[in-house]
Amino acid sequence: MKFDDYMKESLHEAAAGVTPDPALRTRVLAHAAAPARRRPRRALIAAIAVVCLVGSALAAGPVAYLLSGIPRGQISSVEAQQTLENELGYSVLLPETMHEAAFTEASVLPWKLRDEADNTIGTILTLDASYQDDGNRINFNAEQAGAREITAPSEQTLIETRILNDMSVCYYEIPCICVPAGEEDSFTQEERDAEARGELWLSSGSDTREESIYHYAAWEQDGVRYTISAQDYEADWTADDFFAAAQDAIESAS
Amino acid sequence: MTHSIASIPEAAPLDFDTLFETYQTEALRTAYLICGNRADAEDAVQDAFIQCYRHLNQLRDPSKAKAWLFRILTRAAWQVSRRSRRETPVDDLFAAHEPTGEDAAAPLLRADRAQTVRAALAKLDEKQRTAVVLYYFGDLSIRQIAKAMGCLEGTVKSRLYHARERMKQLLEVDFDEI
Repeated sequence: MKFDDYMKESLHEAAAGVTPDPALRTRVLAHAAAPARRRPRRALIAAIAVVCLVGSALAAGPVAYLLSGIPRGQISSVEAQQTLENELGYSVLLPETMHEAAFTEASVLPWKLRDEADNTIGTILTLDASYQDDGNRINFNAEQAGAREITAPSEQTLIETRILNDMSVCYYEIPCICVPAGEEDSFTQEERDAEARGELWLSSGSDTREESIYHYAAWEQDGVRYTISAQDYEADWTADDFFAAAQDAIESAS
Repeated sequence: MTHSIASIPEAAPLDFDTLFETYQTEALRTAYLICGNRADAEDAVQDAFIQCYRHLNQLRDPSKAKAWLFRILTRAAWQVSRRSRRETPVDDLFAAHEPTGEDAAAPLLRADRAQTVRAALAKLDEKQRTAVVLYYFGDLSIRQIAKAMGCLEGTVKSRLYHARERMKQLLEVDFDEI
């Protein structure tokens, strides 16, 4: 017998006696009607999240975006939001919590926009805030909508769009592969092609080849573009987590 | 042996009951093969269908219902497995073979073979096991599996390749190559 046939038959045989509990539908409907439960605590999210967030927030077209100075106006309490807004020059949302993650700190990052000839063509200021949920870090970023040209991620990475409080919130998942420094040649042509299409992020600097998923939700509200993001090595986050976080952020305006 | 997998016609409007009735059995069996035990599989399927119920209106194309459901199910199975793994050693996956009426009546050879494959499957890592289950049991395409697992098609092919090699070692069976 061929291996593929053997596997198909054996797996169907192995699961043949497993039949659904007649009460399953009732349980699903009962839970679905109830408020969403607290999600289980997740495992460690690595600090690479910050790096990827910055890369995500400021990756666009042929223009390079370079940090042009140290973070400003660092705060460790949302009570000091005004300090940030004074630095930014515009108002932003800054919720206390987002889907069980609590605010830890925020600052303003100054970026220089450079063209292909390395000429500075402008500067932008972005909000960089972090939230912590039992050791897991969630990043919250804001910038003025239209301050720069944003290259839309590949449609392949757009998982879901929901309307929250009349705002369209898009949720993306982007696969990431990180290899040890000096092993960049190990990326396959398919991986490089996928990166070129915006369907994959490739990077180096890890101890071993690591695969992860970069999750983020994005929307515009009152002239500001917001993103909520996190790096996930265990595919533990779901779209619901990010939409719930976005909902909390959006509603913090009222 | 043939296996007919139910599916939803492209033109059919999709409601929760249709989705549930069409896929509940296949979803539970898939989760069982990924999680390695019935209790975790039931939790995973319940979590997955709850998410489907809440967000069914987000599914614009009913013909993609299976891929959508299995993407949610895969994540749910991984989450439940990880929670459970903190309490149950991985080696115990499928260890307590759950007897079924089918097994009792089935020829001994088929039942033994299924048990051997279950044991080998438990020795694969979670991602390889998932790829194998979705491919051989779920009849999903490489593209659909990549979507479900949040990775590239090449990664799925690589996982399947390595899983096949490992399974062949573990099963110790001479397969026809052609």
